[in-house]
Amino acid sequence: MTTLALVAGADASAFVGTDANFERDVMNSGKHAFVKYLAPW
Amino acid sequence: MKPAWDRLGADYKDSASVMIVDVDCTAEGSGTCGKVGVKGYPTIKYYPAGDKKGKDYQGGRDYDALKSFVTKTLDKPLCDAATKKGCAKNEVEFLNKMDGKSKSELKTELKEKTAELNEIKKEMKAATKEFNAKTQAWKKRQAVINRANKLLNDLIAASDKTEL
Repeated sequence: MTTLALVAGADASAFVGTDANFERDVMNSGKHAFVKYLAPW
Repeated sequence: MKPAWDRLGADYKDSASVMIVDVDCTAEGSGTCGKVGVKGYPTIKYYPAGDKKGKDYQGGRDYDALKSFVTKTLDKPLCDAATKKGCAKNEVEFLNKMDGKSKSELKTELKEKTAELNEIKKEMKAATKEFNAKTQAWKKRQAVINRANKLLNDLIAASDKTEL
């Protein structure tokens, strides 16, 4: 999970959710999640 | 807002109970944003553990407001199956039912629940497929009726002119 975050957003401290990992690594993480849906522009 | 959010992310990077997550709606997260119904950027939602629907975050977007929200609302201990600490009422009820079961019985329980979950997923998939097919048929029928109504209105208008 950490590896994915590092690859997807090297300078971001937040976990980077994608279509491929969101369900598995966020929704089913067993943790509470605070999610920002963003557009980088 | 980005520095505040990133700082928050750093605060909870190794947290056992809270995840701070970025989803880029213009790239690899576009499908997720679509499912959630994101209409503006940034949109912030929070999901207590196990709650896949989530709720909209309406608070401030500076670091203090974000941090305060997480501390008060999300940074709570998760349900500990062994001690039942931090567990919701229904979780405690479930754990009470499991009390006294052997490891083997718990494994059987897990196997059964997993099979039940897979069955639900299968049923949902089939129902979704059927619904999508029906929606397509309804849309097609609607288009045909709309076209027929348009032609009927044209005929009525034409006959009005003839009568004049």
